[in-house]
Order: sequence, then structure tokens, then C-alpha cells
Amino acid sequence: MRAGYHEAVKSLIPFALAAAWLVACSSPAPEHQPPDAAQLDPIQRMASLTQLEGEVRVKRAGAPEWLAASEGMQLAINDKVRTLRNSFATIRFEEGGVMRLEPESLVAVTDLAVERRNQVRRSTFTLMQGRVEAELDALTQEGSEFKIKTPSAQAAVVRREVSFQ
Amino acid sequence: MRPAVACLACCWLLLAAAPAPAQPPPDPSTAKTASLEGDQTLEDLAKKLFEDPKAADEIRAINHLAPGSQPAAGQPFELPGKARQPAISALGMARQAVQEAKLQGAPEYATERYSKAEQSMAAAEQACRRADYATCQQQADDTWALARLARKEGLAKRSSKNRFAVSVDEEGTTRVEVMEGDGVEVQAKKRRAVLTRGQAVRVRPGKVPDPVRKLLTPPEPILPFPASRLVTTSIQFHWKPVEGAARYVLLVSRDPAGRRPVRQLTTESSTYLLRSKLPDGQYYWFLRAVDVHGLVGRASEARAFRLVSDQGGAVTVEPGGGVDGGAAP
Repeated sequence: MRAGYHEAVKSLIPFALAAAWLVACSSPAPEHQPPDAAQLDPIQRMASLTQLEGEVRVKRAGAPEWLAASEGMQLAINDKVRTLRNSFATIRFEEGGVMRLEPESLVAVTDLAVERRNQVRRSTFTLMQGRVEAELDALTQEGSEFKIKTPSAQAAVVRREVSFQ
Repeated sequence: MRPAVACLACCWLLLAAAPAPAQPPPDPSTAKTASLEGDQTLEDLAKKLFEDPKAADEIRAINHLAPGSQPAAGQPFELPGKARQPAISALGMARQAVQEAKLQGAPEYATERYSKAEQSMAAAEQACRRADYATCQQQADDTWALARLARKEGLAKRSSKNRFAVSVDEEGTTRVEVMEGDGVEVQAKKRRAVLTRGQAVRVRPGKVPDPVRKLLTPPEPILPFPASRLVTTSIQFHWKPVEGAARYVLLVSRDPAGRRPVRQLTTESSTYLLRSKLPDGQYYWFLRAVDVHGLVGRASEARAFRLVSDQGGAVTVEPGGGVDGGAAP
């Protein structure tokens, strides 16, 4: 009886090994694991205030009060910038390019991000009042965008088509 | 044999009799001398003779006089020679080319090349001041070439940029104007309008975009004259009206690219009297015409003026000899 039992166990060993091998093969290799969520998350970019003239105010995201702007002040998402009468300000972007605010303008930083994987840059500002003038390098990378939203419309820079010959 | 010897002897005699290789003829005007009269200074004399008091330094250099020194009245000294005029002309052309490059935004868009042009200009001016006119002329020619390249590079880089404006008025109407670049797509109420260079569109609240319109041409500035020096607190601006313009926007900036603006004024007429409280200094002004739809046209080229207001209430406007035309903001 005992010998018969051992024989039966021995005959199952190849099947057990095969099953173990199959399980090992079917489990995903470490390098095929889904990317870390942090890698997909876009990084927030910063912009800075420069060439201030007259009275310029900044309201930080979530903060109730308006602060006096200063040269080089960093701006992040949901910050707001306001220029008063006879006042001017320029928002300078990390990658180059500027947006100048004319007097009595109010602008909010809506999106300012770069994706880790492909360096695609997204910039969106909301102009609530006044006039801004943007000066930017051509957008050549697919997915990159620069938008200015207003209460009645949205303006987006057309991406430059780059052809390789 | 004999005739050959005689011929050689004749040639030798002729060669020996020929004058030695000519020395550069003395510059008649170099040989010209002058002397100061009474309490006249070298600067007074330089202004009288060359319309440039700084030429006094050149006279000092020629006569090995110490910087800032004045020869005694009646003491003769040499004046610059004929070589001065072409060098000064080259210097003037170089200066103009550097100024043009500056007005076209070269300091911003062709920084390195423009900086070299400025350095070269300084070297040319120094050479002239020490009366080394040959070096001055060569250096001035190099400066001119560098400045032209800087201007060209600046213009090319500038036009490859996207430049556009977006505005929202009190009624919530949006206006988008495209000055340079690849264009801007304007979207409202699920309708799109694609604007290219020189086009603009208005979007009223809750409406689709209006038809795309062409931007008005820039007004042509008249007053103040290019590179004016204004010794006044009231600045009279005047320009040629633009057909189709409902009003004009006048921008005064500290830089020729319009990036450091200090005043923005609006008027319906083609003239504006600015009661200036601006500090003394160099300024640049630009004009834009606004059409009946409120779309703001392209800016005129930069025009410079210098404000020197605090001089005992004197009111004079002196046209300068600078160049006109420059980068529009």
C-alpha cells in the first residue's frame, strides 16, 4: 500500500514541475510591469514674473489676498496676476517665450505642465479681463499646446508641421 | 658687343637718375596747423572745424598732448589730416547699422552677434579718438558687417516666433490678433476659425466667431522726429491717419522691442499731447490702429526719443540724426 502510494507521488512529479514552470512563465516579468503612476503624472512647470511696471498684484492659489508682485516671482497653477492702470507685467516661461500683460488685465494660470515621458508641454491661461500678447517659439512636438481661454472663446497656437526630407 | 654695353650703361644711368621710390605725399591738411585764441578750448575749435567737440581728443593724440589738456593760446599744433574724413564716415555708417540692428530686436534675438558688433563699434571709436584713422576705418567696416548680420539674424529669429494677442473687454467680447507665426485656432460655440499672420477675429459672448478680418496697417509716425531730444514735459505725438481706423493705441517703451512699456494711451485722433511725468532717458514709441470692430492692428516700427525735461523749464525739440524704423512690439 505504502509502495503504491510512493509510486503514485513519483508519477505526479513531472506534472507538478510542468505546472510550476507554466506558472512561472505566465507571471509578468519585472520589466513588463505597468509603469509607475508617478512616471505618467505630468510635472508642473513654473513661470516667472518679470519686467514689472507700475502696480502688479498676484493672488496665490487658494489664498484670499492679493500680494504686490516682485521681479522673478514664480507662478504656479491657479495663481492669478492682475495689472492695474498704467501697469505692465511679463510672464516668462522656463523654455523661453513670454506673455505680456497690458494695463488692467487679469490672468489665471490654468495649466502649466510637462509630461515626463515625452517632454510634451501644455500651457493654458485664462484671461478674464484686459489684453495679453504672447510671443512663443514654434510648437513642433505633437501634443504640445499653448492656449488662452476667455469667457467667450479659446485661442490655441497652431502646431508647426515639421517635414523631414 | 659694344652697342650692348652702351645700352646697359644707358639703362643703369637712367635707373640711377630716377627718383627714389616715392614716400606717401605729405597730407596737406595734416600739415595744417592751428592755434587757440584767447580762452578758446580745443573742444570749441573741434566743434568749429569738425562739428564734433570730441575731435579734440584726436587733436591731442596727434600732438601727443595729455588727455584733457589745453595748448596755450597761440601755440601752434597739427590738425587731423585727410584720412580722418573716410574714417569718420565709416564710423557713422557703422553706428547707424548698430542702431538699426538694435531697433530690429537684435539684442534680444541675435544677442551674441549684436554684442560683438557693439564691442567692435567701441574699438572703432577708440581708434578714431587716438587718431588711428586706418584702424578706425577698418574696424568700422567690420562693425557695419557684424551689425548687418545681427540685424538679419534677429529679423529671421523674430519672424519665426508665434506672436499673437488676446483681449477681453468689459462686455466679455474676445478679440484675437495674430502678428507672426504659424497661426492661432480660435474656438467658440463649437465653431473654429483659424487665423494666420495678419488676421484677427472677434467673438461676442455666447456667439460663434465673427468672420476673420485683416489687421490694419501700422500708422506712420511723424512727430517726434526720429531720435529727437525733447527738453520738455509735453510731448506732441503726431502720425498719418490709417484708413478704417476708429482709434489708435500709442505705446511708449524703454526698449526698442516694446518689452518695457511705460505708457499706453488711446486716442481717436492722429495726434496726442502727452503731459509726461516720465523720468529723463531714452524712450521708444509705437503706434497701432484699431478698427471699428476693436481689432488692434500691427505696431509701427520703433521710433526713439530722448527726454531731458529738467533743464530750467526750457522747451525745445531737437531733431536727432539717428535712424528711424525698428522692431515693432
